[in-house]
Amino acid sequence: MSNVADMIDAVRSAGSVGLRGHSSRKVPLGERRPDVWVGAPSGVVEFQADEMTVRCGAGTPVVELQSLLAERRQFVNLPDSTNGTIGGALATGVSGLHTLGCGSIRDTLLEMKFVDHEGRLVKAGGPTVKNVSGFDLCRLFVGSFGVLGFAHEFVLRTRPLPSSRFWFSAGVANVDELREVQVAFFRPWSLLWNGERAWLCLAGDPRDIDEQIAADRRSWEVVGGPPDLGGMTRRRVAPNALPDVVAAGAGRAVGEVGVGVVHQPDPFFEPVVDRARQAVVERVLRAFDPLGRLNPQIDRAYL
Amino acid sequence: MTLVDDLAAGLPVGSVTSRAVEAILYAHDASEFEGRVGAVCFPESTEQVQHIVRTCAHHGVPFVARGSGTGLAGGATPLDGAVVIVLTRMNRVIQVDPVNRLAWVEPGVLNLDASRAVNDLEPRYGLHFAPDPSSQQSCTVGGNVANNSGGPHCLAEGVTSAHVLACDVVLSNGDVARFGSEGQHESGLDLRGAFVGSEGMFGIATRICIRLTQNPPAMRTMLIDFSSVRDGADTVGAIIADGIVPAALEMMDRLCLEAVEAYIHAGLPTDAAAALLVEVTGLRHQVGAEAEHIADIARAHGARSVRVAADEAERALLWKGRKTAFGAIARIKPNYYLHDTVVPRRALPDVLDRVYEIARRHDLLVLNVFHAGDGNLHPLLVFDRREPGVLDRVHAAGEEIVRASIAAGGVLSGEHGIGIEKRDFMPLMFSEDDLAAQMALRNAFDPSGLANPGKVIPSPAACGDVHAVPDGVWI
Repeated sequence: MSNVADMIDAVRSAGSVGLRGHSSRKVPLGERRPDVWVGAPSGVVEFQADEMTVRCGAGTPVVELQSLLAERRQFVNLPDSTNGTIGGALATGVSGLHTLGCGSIRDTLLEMKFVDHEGRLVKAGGPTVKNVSGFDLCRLFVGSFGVLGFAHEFVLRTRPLPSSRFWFSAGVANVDELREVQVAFFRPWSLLWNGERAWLCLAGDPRDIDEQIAADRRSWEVVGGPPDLGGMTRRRVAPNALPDVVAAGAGRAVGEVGVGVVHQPDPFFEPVVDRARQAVVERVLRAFDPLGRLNPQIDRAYL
Repeated sequence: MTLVDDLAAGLPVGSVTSRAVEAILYAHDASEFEGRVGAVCFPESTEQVQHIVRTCAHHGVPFVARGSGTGLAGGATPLDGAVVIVLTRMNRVIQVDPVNRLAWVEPGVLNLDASRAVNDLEPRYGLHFAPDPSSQQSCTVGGNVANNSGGPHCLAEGVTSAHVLACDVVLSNGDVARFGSEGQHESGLDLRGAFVGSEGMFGIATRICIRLTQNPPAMRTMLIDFSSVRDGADTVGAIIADGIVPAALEMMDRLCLEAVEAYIHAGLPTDAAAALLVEVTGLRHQVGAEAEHIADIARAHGARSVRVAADEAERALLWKGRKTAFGAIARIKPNYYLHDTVVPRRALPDVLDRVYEIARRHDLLVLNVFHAGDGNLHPLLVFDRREPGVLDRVHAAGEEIVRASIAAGGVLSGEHGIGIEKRDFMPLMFSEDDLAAQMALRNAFDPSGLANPGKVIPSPAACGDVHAVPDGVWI
């Protein structure tokens, strides 16, 4: 852990600096390594349940934050994590398994304070859920692996916990049946498919959940949760191409249906082919860190 | 060759003009600001937009993309002879995937037409495009993307950014880049997220992939009235604090209720100080439980009555009252100035008191009709432009309202954007370093600086001079 002054000091004095939390998440590593490492401040600064916002240090563990919010029956839409920090979750930008119902992780961050490449403190966004004042640096930072600046404090949007939430599973043998399931349920939180079975997460009033399950012709059984996706590689695909990609995985790949993410056992890297987009990316990187001193260990090809 | 000749060389006949009528028409949007047009183009394809942008680059002339021109902050007002690129002819719905709930549309498709077209093409799926600004009958999806527009139902559904999966964007050098993708954006720079809400200063979206939302099977719409504005505002905070996020949670004050009732005759409580329009949607048991809970909370906060819409016709009537409020106001005075700030919900009662006090002091009538659930205030200052000196009072009151909102921990704009209107207020919310970071982002997207210049970010000289009037603009 460190405080903001340590972060500023490191950015101003070292040749290159790495920012890390609990190192619990996969990041695309390149050849370079930073001269020094720093951490980010931890702790909840202010939780305003009636505003549905929470202000916290970037180094705050996700579990610690979620358990505090749960006392007021709220949560933040971040992927489940046993050990990671909020900063790590936002820096890697990977959405959780409830994207279908809860939306992207990128909609979670409202305001951010960061240390820029010259050691200046910069604020982006604003503390209210609704805000279009200025350009949206917050969404740009989510998933940027900390190469644009080192975030030290966030304001996050919280949501009410549903009164109940259940995972179900049933055999779903083919693409036609999968499409039937996709349109049968009202705003499920998750729908996963491995080519043979589907896993469905429904949240809300338990009576509504019972009615929806009873109305479907399949026999859904309650299960403890989603299949184990540990060690899998995420791959983005167009949602309408997902069934084919999953089918090609012969039962070993699991797709987030309607979202367009396939978890597959084999490593996968799709190089960016859009040159016009890549030119913008390179200009953004140069604008925010001209010498590439922030998190030099990150392989820029993944950005 | 002149600019107009060069533009015409790559466009169908009749697609470019610099005639006086168009120059006057396209010199402004729905804001108070008047600009100056260099030429007006009506492209019908991405390639034509590329041609226009490349021609502007060749001549060193700025360009401004616009849709229906419903923006209220001057974002589509051309400054200093910019070329106006009118995208309303690019209004095709290109492709709909109802199962995965997404559609590709051109930027000139009207917001409400996007939902209509999806239902015409795929009637059995019950889908809609969730952002619903009050101007949704006339504003375009491209404009929604530029402003990251909101609307009453964005309380639960989120603003436009949450409903845009990808954009094909013509950059200021004429290249086309795709930001985002149909599939969930994974790690990496979210240029889509940065682009949405960039007010035309990062490039021009010519194809937009929107997310479609399932229509709720059940809904309940309630009108709850109060004998004080503060009771209504307290009820809003209490509903949210209790873990209920209604689909919409709107407030109208007495003057607004009176104006709307005289217009639509819906039996609105014109003797109430304020009324909340609350809608809960979803599956039937949840909707029923939440509606009852909201009514209990409201009664505990002094609600006089709770009216539940009995059928779709009554629901539509109540919403008509909310959505036509701005038009109804013409019964009071011919002109209005609509503000847009956001404050923390807990600050709503105090800031509303301040708004009334500010209006009184400037001898102006103010009506409040706004997205209370988001803390998104929309004070409407109504006036008669013919009254000498009234515009000065309107602008002075407006500035005080903006300052009061920021002082209460709020932000400059919830959904209208910054444009010209609030450009010089940005230093109230951001430091010079904060603004430099935003400008760096703009320069990375548009190194030429020709995409809608002079908006959003104040020039360094204007930083200390709040609400300086930009060059070439008449208020």
